[in-house]
Amino acid sequence: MRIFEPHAHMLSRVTDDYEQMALAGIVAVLEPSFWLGQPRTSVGSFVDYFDAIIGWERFRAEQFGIRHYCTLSLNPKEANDDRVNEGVLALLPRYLEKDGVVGVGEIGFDDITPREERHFAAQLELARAHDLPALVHTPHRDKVRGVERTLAIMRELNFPPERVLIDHNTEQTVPVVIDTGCTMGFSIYPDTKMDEPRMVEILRRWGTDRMVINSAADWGKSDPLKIPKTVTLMRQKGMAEHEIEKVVWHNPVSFFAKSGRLDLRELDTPVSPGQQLFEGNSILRGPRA
Amino acid sequence: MDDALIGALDAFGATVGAVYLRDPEHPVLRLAGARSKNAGDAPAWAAEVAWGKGVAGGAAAAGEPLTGVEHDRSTLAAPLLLGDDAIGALAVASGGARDFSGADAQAMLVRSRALARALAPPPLEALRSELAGRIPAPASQWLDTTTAAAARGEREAIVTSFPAVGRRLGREPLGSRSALVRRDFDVEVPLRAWRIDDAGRVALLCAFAGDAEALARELYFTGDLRERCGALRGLAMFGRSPVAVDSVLDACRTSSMELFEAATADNPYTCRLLPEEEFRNAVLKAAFMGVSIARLPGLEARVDAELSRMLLSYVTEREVAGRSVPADIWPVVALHPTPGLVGKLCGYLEHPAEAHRAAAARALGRIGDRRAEPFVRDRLAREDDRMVRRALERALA
Repeated sequence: MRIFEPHAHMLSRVTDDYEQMALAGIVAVLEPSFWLGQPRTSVGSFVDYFDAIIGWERFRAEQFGIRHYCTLSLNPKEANDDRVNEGVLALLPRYLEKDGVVGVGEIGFDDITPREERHFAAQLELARAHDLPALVHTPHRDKVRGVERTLAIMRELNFPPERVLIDHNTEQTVPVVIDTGCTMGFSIYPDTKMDEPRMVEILRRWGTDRMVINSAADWGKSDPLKIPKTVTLMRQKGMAEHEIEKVVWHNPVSFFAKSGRLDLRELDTPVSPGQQLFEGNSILRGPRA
Repeated sequence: MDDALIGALDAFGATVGAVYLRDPEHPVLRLAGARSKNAGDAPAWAAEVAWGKGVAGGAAAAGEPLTGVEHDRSTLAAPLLLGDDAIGALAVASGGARDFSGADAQAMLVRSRALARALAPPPLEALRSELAGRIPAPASQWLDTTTAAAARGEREAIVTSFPAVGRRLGREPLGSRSALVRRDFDVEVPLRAWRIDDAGRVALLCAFAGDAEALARELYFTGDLRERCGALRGLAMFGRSPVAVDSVLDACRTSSMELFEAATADNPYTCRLLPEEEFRNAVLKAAFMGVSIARLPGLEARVDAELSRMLLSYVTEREVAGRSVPADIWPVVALHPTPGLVGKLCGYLEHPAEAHRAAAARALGRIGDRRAEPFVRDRLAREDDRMVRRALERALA
């Protein structure tokens, strides 16, 4: 079964991860921009970060036969940082036109501050201007209120819910989001957020429409194989193959295809390093003997 | 065309000559021009020759020079090659019993390639026709609109369109065997490694009625990997001043094969304008990355003793580690031989890979050290491969 991983910060992962993800059936990965675990001190750091995501990281992924897409934005945490927030917003129009950028994100709330709210709204407008869907992060603390505030702002701006993926949902937020028309993301984590058994229960209870799961793997304790692991449990619990495929492939693909920049034909053609025109690259550490 | 014909007649002591061009629709060559040494000589060139037939048609189809007797005349023809694509053939014939030698054939190929370059369409036109059959109609229309804006000098139109070229036109390999021609340097820029989006981006830049060089530089530094490749390939076509050399240097520092290749291989801008030290490092890195150094245009004119030393030191490092060595290094280092090189090359004459044997033979031919002769003869007596045999024979000549 092919898997589209709709949320993984691959920039902070090692090549072993790519290798294992590819073996486990992940053929495409979406990298949302976020913070780096510590605050950046200048806009230039964002330039390099965005360049790395659309350049080097995509290249790295392809060496393992994985297609790499991304969403770019000013993240909610650093929306609070006046050293960078306005500057990054000014950068975004140029980057949002880049190939492989299939959305604006992660945007949304972290501490639910007025600055976060202002930049969230501004970036929903950017998404509209560049005809891109939005990937919305929800806070780890006071999550339900964060989700409610998110939905309220979308309504105020008249932003179409079918073009929004609200991420990091839990049992508490599902009832709030389920009837809005938004796509719902769940991050399966080793210790925090959501785990596999709870996830299967949610899918059994609420169905698979507009549901996507991800590993949200990053620089913290996380596991880029969480989707395939959840798939295993879904099978063990008797979920039908087509339902599983809907959650790990069709739903994320059709959501990000709303950008008009996800080439479905291309997705059907596996990338393999062997297909490249010329042998060798630095990840494989130069031409072999 | 006339000058080329007269030049060929003089060079080979031939009496009549002709240029044939390929019909774009049918597998035939059509007579495009003919000259005779003496007004009385009957031209007697067929107006049309089937692709693959006769000396001219055969040379075009084979992509290499051919000799034969036609109409009781000794005839020599060479394909008009752009890259690996034959757009026609140049043929000369002599009434007497003149036999054309292998050296004549090679000299004829140099002339026919020069004529092909002279006949090549301007880059923008060539790129349009390369793309025409390969992209769908809406993509073509988008490209027409955008290049028209570029031709009006609308810089912003290019800046906005540049990132979108891949999703508008496609990113697949262009699959062309042909080459563009840079008139000012009189060099070919082969399209073999280009992708469809490269062709689209370079078309936009070539159409620009402004400072394309400065724009390419800017688009490089604000671009993603594919945009950067496009900007570098654009510079290959029109870069002439050091203004954008920093973008090439940036690309030479990356480990992305795709980017490094666009910066160096088939890129006359890079090979002409990189300063000495940086150029040597780029050549060495090409060998290291697996980009054939034979694809660096003008390399042989720039190679010096220091570069030769660096390449051979790399060879030693690879050999110590028990790894393979790129064969195309040999003819280059032969231009500045180091002690022991002739012995090493004699050894490579017995290498299991044809490419090594041929390259070592070419290198030995260049060095011209008589001590190598018995080894070359010895190998020639046992050599089966046509390409290697030819290189060995030339080394002995």
